[in-house]
Amino acid sequence: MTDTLSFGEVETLARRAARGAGLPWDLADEAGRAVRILCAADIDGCRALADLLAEIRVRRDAKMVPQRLQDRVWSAPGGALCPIRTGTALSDIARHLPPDGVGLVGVTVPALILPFAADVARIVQGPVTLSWHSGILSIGPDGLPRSEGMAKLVQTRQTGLHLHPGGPGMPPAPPQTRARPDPEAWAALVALAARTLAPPGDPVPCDPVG
Amino acid sequence: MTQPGLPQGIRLRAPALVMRLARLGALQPSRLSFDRQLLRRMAAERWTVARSIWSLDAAGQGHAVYTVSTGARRYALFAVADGGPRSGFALCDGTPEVDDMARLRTALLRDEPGRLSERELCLTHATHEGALWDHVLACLAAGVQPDTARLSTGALLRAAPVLASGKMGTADRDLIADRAELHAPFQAELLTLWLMRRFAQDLVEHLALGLGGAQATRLTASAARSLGIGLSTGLTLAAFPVTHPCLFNTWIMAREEAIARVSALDRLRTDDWDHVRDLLVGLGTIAGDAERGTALRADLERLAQTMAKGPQGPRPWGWLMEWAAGALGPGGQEALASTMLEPYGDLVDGLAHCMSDTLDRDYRIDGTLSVGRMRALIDGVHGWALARDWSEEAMTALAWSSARGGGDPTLGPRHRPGGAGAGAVTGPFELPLAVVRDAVRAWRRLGLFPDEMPVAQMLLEHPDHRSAIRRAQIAGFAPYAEIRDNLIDADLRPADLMRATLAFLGGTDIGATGDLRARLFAGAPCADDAGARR
Repeated sequence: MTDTLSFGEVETLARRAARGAGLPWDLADEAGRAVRILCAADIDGCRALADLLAEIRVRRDAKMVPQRLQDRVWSAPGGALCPIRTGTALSDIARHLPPDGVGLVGVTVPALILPFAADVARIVQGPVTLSWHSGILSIGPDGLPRSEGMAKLVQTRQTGLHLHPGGPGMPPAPPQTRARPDPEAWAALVALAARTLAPPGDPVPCDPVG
Repeated sequence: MTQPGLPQGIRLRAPALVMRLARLGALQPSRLSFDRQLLRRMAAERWTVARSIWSLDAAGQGHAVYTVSTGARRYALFAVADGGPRSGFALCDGTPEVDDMARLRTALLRDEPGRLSERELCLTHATHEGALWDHVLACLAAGVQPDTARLSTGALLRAAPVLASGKMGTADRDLIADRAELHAPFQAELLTLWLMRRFAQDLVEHLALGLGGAQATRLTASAARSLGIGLSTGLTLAAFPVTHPCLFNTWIMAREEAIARVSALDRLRTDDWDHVRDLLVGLGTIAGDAERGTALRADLERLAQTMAKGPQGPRPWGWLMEWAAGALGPGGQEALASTMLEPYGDLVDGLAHCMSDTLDRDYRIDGTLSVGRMRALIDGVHGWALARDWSEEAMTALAWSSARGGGDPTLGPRHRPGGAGAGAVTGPFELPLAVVRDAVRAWRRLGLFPDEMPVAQMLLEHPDHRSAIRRAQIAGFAPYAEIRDNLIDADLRPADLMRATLAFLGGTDIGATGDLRARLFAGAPCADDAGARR
C-alpha cells in the first residue's frame, strides 16, 4: 500500500469489504460512503469499518438493529447497535426527529455514526448534538467538525449516545485531500473485499428474485 | 411561463419513450456532447497548448510534455513511449517537476501500471493502431500524404479506458469539480485524449523523419484534423448510466430540452435546413452491427428525401420530428434529433451548464414517505415490469459481476445449481445493477406493509431494499433517471448502454467487437489550432 489513497479508492474498497462481510449492497453503499466522509474529516474510517465488520462477524448484523423508530430510546435485541443500521435509520427519519432527540443504547464503533449525524444536520439544515457519557459534539449542516470530543468518540469501542436537534453547530473541519488508513485495517478490508470478486470465467451465483 | 427568447409550446418527449435501451443505443453525438463542450471552452477562452518537452530518441523511446494554459490554470499531459507500440499518459494538475516525471515514467511503463498521486488527474495507456500507423509512417517517411479516406475513418493510437476520479490514486473528483473548466463531466479525461491525439501525430512524424530523412514530410493540417483518437471501452461505461441515475437524468433532460426548443421554432433559415440535411447525409454507419447499420442507412435515405422537399408546417423541425416518429426507426429519429441542434448554438448551448449533478452521492432517502406512496412511485417508473413473470428464466438470465484481476464489470450467465428452475443461490458476486428486478422485489415487499406506514420502518426490517427505494425517490424528481428495460434479460445488449454513454462523450464510428471501440475528436481542431471555432 502506498502512503496515501484517494477517497474514491477508500470508498470503493470499503463498499466491497462490507459486501464481502455479508452486508447487502444497499448497506455496503452506506458503509463505503460513511468511510469516505470520515476520511475526508481526517478520521481513519477504514480502521472503524474493519473493527465493525469484525464485530458483525461475531454478533450478526440482524441482531444489531433498533426495533421501533417511534421509540425515544433505540436498542437492539443483541445488546449492541450497528452504527450503519442505526445511522441509516436516523438519516431516514431526519425530517421527523423528535425535538428532544433519540437515545441510542450501546452503539458499537460509534465513529461510524458520525457521517449519518452529519446527514441529519444537512437534511434539517441546522445543527445537531451528539452526546455520550464522557463527551459532547455539535455538528453543523456543512459537515463534520474537528474537535477533541470527536477524537475521543473515535477511540471508543462501544457507548450509549444521544442525538438531538440544536446546539452551537461547529464549523466543518478543513477537508483533507487524501486518506491515510492504518495498513492493518486496510489489509483486513482488502481480504474481505476479495470475497466479492468472482473467479474469472465462472457463472455467477446470485440472489433470486424473491 | 415561457422564458424570454425561447420558443413557446416546448414539450419534452416522454421518459417511457426516450429511456428504452434500443433508443438510448441509437443516440448520436450532438453539440451538447462533452467533447464539444471542451472544444468550445478552449476556443472561447483561448487556451494555449505548447509542447514543452520532447525527449524521444530515434526509435521513439522517451517522454514528452504538452502544457495547456487555460489562462487561470495549467495542465500538462505527460506522455511516455517505450519505443514499441505501447505508450502511457497522465494528465498532471499543473506542470510536472523533474521528480514527478521520473515517478510517472516508472509508473506508466510497468506491465501493471503503478498508482499515481493527487497531482495527476487521469491516466491511460495506448497502442498503435497497427495498419493505419504503419501506412501513415511509411507515407510520411516517403514524403507523401497518407490516403485521406483511411485517415477519415481511423486513428493512430487507441487508448485504453481513461482512469480518473480517484482511480489508481489519481485526484478525487471533489478536488477539481468546482473548477469551471472541469465542471462538466469527463472534461479532464477528454482533454487527455485530445492531447494524446496531438502526441500521436508528433510521434509518427518524428519516426518518419528518422526513417525518411530529408524526404520525409509532415501531415497536412487537414489530414491531422481528420484523424481521431481511438478509445476502447469496457462494461464500466455500460454500467455508468445505471450507477449515476441523477447525472444521467441531467444529460438526457438537457438533450430533450434542446430537441424540444428546436422543435418549437416557428421560423428557420433555409440554409439551416440544408446544413442539417448535409450533415445527416454524412453520418456514418454502425460498424459491428450490420442489421442496425442497414436500418440507419435506410432511415437516412428516407430522411434526405423528405428534407429535399423543404421545411413544412408552422414548426418545421417539430413537423419533421413527428414525421420521423412515425416513419423511421429509433436510429433515424435520434440521428435527426442530435443533428438538428447544430445550427442553434445560441438556443441550446447554455443547457450544457445543467449536465452535472452531485445528488448521486448526496441524495438521502426520505423515510417519512409512506409505503403506499413508494409503491406508486415504483409503479410509475417500472409499472411495465410489475406484471411480468419473473420466474421465467430469461428474465434473470444474466448477472453483472466483477472478476478477480479485472477492472471492468463482466456480464455473464447466471448460475443455477441443479439446472433450470432449481432457483439461484445467494452470493456476494452479483453487482447491484439489476435495477428493475430489484424494484419489483421492493414493490412486492412493500405490499406486505400498511400503505400509511413510513417507509423507514420497512427499511429497518429490510435494508436490502434501500437502493430500490432510493432510486424510486430519485425518479420522482428526475424523470429520465431510470432505464425502462430489464438489465439482466437474456436479450440484453450491453452495447446499447455503452453507445449511450459514448454519444454523450462525443464518440463516433463506434464498432462492437469483444469490447467497444470508438473514435473521438475526428474532424476536431488540433492542438495547433485550438483557437479555431468548431
